[in-house]
Amino acid sequence: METDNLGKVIISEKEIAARIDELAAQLNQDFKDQEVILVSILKSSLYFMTDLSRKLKFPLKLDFLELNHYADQDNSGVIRVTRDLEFSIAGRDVLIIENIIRTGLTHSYLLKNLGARNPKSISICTLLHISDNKLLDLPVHYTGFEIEDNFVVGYGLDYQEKYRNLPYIALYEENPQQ
Amino acid sequence: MQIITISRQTASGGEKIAEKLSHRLGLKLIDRSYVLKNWLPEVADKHQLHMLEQSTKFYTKIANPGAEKEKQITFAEYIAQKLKKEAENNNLLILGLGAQIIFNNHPYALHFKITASEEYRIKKLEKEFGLHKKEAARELELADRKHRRYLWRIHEQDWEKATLYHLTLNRDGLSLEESISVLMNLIDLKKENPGPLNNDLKVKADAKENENNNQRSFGHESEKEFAKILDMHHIQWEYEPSEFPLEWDPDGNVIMAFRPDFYLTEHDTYVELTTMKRKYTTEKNKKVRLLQELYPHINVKIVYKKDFEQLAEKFELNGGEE
Repeated sequence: METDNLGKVIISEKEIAARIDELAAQLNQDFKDQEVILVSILKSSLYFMTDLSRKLKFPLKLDFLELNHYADQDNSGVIRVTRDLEFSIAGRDVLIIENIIRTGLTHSYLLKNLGARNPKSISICTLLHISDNKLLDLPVHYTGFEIEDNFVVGYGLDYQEKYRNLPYIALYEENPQQ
Repeated sequence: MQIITISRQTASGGEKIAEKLSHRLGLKLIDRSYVLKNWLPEVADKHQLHMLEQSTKFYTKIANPGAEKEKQITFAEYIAQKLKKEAENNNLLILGLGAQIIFNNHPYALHFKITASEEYRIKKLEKEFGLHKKEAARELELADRKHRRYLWRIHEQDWEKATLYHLTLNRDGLSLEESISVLMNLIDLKKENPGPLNNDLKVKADAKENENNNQRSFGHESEKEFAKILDMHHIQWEYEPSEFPLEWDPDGNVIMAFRPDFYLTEHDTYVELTTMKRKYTTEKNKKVRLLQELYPHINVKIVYKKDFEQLAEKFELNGGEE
């Protein structure tokens, strides 16, 4: 794998696994005996979803949502659902599995889109959260790690589709020689 | 105000969809029985009400024969007037009543038609009303004719015309929940991007909207770009809507004020972009600090040059992930 631009590892494989155990324990307590639809936001939360969901003990269904920004001719565009949920979430408890919440912009759209389908509840569980300078303050119920506002890759996060399959999270350095 | 109209073939399950949808979306449901109970008694006597229940033709009769000639309106026109008035202040879901025509060119109206095969509808009538197959088929024929006639008599429109609707849903193979899900999705999408059905009007409206956007003068190119990013995420914004006084002279005159670049209405958040030179950034930071001290209840965010560049880069280079 190309690793030229990889910087310091900020969260190791071991640390991720340990934190997922803690998050799962908390979720198992909060959602005890409830049936929950886990919505993974593709593609970045794929690994987090698979690792986390295997530790969950309450009844659940897995579903996936993919969003994309479509550019128009004038370089404006809109965010759209490019792969929609399989299940109806009306009247159901929904747990959104995100890998990173940075600005809150996508998060805001997600809540609006899923909220319109009238779920019983929507909670958000994100592995990484950048609270510093976040544009929109929206509720995040479960957070794995608070990190500084840097570009990071690995464990699902990419730079131009690369580095997703790294088992850890590392800084991405645009000009590593400098 | 949001308007959803639902036209349906008898026994296609359109009523149930309308009822569920109105509950889930918090829309006021108006159908023929609502109109007969709440509106028409204002202008119709007992006999007329009975006739209105029975005959579509009766809707073309004058509702206010005592009025001056030019002020006379039919029962159908009276209903249309009431619907339009109601739509000024309420989000509505209207079942039937020719509402797809009344609000045909309304920018915030969405028109749905619910259909099903004859077989589906006959089975439904057999099951729900215990009708025999032949009776059910006859009922459907009469009911369809009544729908067609109403729209033709009152609005001279063909009920079957597909372009009267944004979407026609065939209930064969679509459960109630699936049908509602499809409609809710479209309603959700169109909320941010409303468009009337009439193509000619739409072109004009779009042209006008583009004109407005192009004419909008932003203080800085970055603000225009930021507005695009907000639009991209369906986030409603206003540009520089409020100014906050920050310093006053001894006579009480404002000597320093601050007008944040954007106000995100749904999030009750002001945003200030500081993508300029450091000198200006320091000054802006000072103003924002003062603003937060003087108006602690105001939520204001600063987007620094680095944040803005990250955002701009993300939406040029990257897909839909945060």
